[in-house]
Amino acid sequence: MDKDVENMSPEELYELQKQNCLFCQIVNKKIPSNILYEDDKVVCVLDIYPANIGHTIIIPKEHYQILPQISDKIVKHMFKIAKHISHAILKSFINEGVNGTNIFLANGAVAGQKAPHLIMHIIPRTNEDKFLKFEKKSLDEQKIVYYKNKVSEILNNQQNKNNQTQQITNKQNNVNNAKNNINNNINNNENVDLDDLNLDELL
Amino acid sequence: MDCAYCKLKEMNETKIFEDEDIIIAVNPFPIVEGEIVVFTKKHYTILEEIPDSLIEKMGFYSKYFSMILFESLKCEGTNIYAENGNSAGQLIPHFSISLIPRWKDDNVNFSWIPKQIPKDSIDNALKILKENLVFEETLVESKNKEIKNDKINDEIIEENKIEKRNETKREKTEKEKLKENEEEIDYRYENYFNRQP
Repeated sequence: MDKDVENMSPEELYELQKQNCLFCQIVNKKIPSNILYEDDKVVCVLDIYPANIGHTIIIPKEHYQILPQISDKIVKHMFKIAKHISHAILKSFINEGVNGTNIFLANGAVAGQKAPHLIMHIIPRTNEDKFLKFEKKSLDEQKIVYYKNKVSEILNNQQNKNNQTQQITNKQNNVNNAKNNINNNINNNENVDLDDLNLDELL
Repeated sequence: MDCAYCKLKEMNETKIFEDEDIIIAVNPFPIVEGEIVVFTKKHYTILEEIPDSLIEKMGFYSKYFSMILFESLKCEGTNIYAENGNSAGQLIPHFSISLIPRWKDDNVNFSWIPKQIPKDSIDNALKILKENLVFEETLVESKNKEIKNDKINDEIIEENKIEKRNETKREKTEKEKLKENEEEIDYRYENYFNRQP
């Protein structure tokens, strides 16, 4: 019997979501798809709702819902694969008029993410396309500085936090090293000269 | 060179962050206000010219600064969007990745009407794409196979090579395991910044 959704633990909910996830089913070959490339981290298939011929999506094998959950290793890998697939698309569809590609990733429902499994699109583009046409604004200097300051503020906060945690871990490491040295010396029956240890410097 | 991003390199008022290869700045020509742009210091016109190591780094920064955008502009979603080629909307001949903050009802339309493509065209497209999708790794593999097939090669040397390769592989997997453990510990994104991308 299936448990009520309300009584489920977060782990069980995650498992349930994975079972119902379209992209997980593609990864596990439970749904047939046109697989272009596969390795230990990602599966690349032709999109079933393509904007143009050759439209490919990169699916991480692990079920990640949002961008912060994905490990750096997988993100880097996805971008590398995207580059090679983009290259293959440009080479393959010259005769169809394809002379550009878009890389597109939607993070969050308002950004256009349709399924709770993060994917990356590589979209072939021709001059005749009528989608993804944007009018670019031109920001004045005041606005640029405004946004720069807003983003930099958070960035600096993060960096300061990181520096602080780094300093703490460094200190802890120093103390641990000192402890190990003392233990080693005791084990080796050597005389421990506490004056040699500059505790002020360590802390 | 008359390139807007190459000029941007010198302009401190837009720059948010830089390292030896990459600059992150406020996009002066955005789709949505508050957009951030990630680009290389070296002038590469299109994506295909960028070395693997650099595109990986750009990907890492794209993820990191998307999350910074959430916190700083209080946006409800983000897009990572790259325009590669004129038909894709690229106006400046210097490849860049845009990080776009998104809000409900912001009237930005990232959708398309799906095209109906006959099955044999799809099969054909898949076949051509597979032929043209060549990674450096696969090139290296095929070279190794050639060496193995070459009967003139001394077998003992070959065996030694394989042994050495296996040894390095074993070391690598151990290192990878360690790295993976590190990644688990560093899952919170406050810790991301100090790690070398």
